[in-house]
Amino acid sequence: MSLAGRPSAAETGQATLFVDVFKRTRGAEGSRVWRGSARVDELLPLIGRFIGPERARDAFLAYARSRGLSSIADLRADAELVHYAETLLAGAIGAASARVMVASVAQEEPLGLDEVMNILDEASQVRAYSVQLEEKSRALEAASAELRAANERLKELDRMKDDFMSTVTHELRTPLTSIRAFSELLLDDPRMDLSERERFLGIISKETERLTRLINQMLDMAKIESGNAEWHTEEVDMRAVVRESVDATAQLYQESSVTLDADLPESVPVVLADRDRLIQVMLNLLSNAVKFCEPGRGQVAVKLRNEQDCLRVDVRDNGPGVSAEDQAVIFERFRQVSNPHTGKPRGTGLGLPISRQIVERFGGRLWVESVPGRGACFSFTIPLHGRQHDRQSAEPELEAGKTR
Amino acid sequence: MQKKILIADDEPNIVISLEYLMRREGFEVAVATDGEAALQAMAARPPDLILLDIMLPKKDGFEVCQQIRANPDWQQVKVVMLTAKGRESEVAKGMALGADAYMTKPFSTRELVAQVKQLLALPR
Repeated sequence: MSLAGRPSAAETGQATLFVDVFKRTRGAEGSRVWRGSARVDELLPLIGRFIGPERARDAFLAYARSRGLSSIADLRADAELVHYAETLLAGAIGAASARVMVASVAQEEPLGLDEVMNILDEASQVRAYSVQLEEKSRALEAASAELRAANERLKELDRMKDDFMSTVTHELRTPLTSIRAFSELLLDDPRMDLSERERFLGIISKETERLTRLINQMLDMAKIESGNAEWHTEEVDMRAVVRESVDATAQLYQESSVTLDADLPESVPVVLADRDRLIQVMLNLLSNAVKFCEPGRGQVAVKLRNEQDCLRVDVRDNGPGVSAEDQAVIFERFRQVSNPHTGKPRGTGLGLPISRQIVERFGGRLWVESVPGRGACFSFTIPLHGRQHDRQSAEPELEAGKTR
Repeated sequence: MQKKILIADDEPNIVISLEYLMRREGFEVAVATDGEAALQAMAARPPDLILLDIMLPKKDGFEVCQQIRANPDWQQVKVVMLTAKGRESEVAKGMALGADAYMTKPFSTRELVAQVKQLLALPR
């Protein structure tokens, strides 16, 4: 501390601390009986190690001056100085620990049980605090990692939505482009010959259907997602469902030069489900299969089986198959796999997600098995006995015997 | 001399309409249904103008446009990009890659014809 000039802010602060220390030192004065021996040149480095050599020297000098001495060298290591040293140290490492540290230098009497207990108390408190701090910091770390992950998921979702919107926009605009172009061509040329006219009108009509289908599918998904879809649960003959779907796609298969075979058992038990919805699932699987088959070489086989507690439908194709990576995502909304024949995704990327929601609604499963290069097999099951996962449980379940 | 137009689009009905439209306007028309076929058609018989869809199989419209602009023989070929995605960023990307114009699907047939004639410096 410089006495020549005005004290700096730090010095004033330190002085305040010392005054406080003196107070406490004096308070204990009368009660102290000194029985050990100590040396100033041992005490000073000890204190210095914990509060810094400079601060320790300043503190000792201030102490010396308060006793009317001019330097640290004149100090005597008496009980009061030892106590002062302890007080200084206590601020840094705790009172009991300070006492032990100083005692180790001051060659005092052996420690009493109380003091040992105090040290243990302090130490265990410090440990408890540090454990608590560690736990808190771990919890914070985990929370921040979770937030980071959630943020990443949101970003990914946002990107998917953006891609989806872009895909949907493209899919909506493509039929519209044909409709507009052919309408304008017909308008501009009233004397176009009849066969050309019919051909163009046919295209307009087909593209209109395509657009309608797309819009319906998007609305359908939105309805299922929001829980507003209507379900008509009834006893359904799966053989009829498969046959009807195969018939409905026969022309599509013919146009694509892909063969379609159906293998149905003589009879199967009825299941409790929504007939139109099951046809929707079948049409989706059948149109997917033909889309990915090579024209002229494509083969698709549909098989219906009665398994122990469910009916199972397999739709197997000899297309390029689905990679393990793609298998994980094709049932997710907005994801679609590009077609190796046309190179670009078709449809909305909603067909499989909708189908899976429908099948699961009736307690079944929809999945794919595929070895890339060796075709894909999409299968779904519908449980017998009318076991339903009916969230609203609006329709009463039929007894097991009745469903057979 | 009759101007040549290459249509590069993979959507059959759109190709039919574009082909009809361009023939009606007196152009000689060639068609390619993927990006690689478009470049092959360019090499075989360079057109005066290409109507280039962005979402093409094998090589997309951006890549095709880039390769056209990288080839000194094809500097005179006008490129009109057709996009059904309607994203601003796609339009900007196409123009940055050297396209001369873009049309968003669905386009007006009259506007498309006007655009093509303007780029080929023909009377409308």
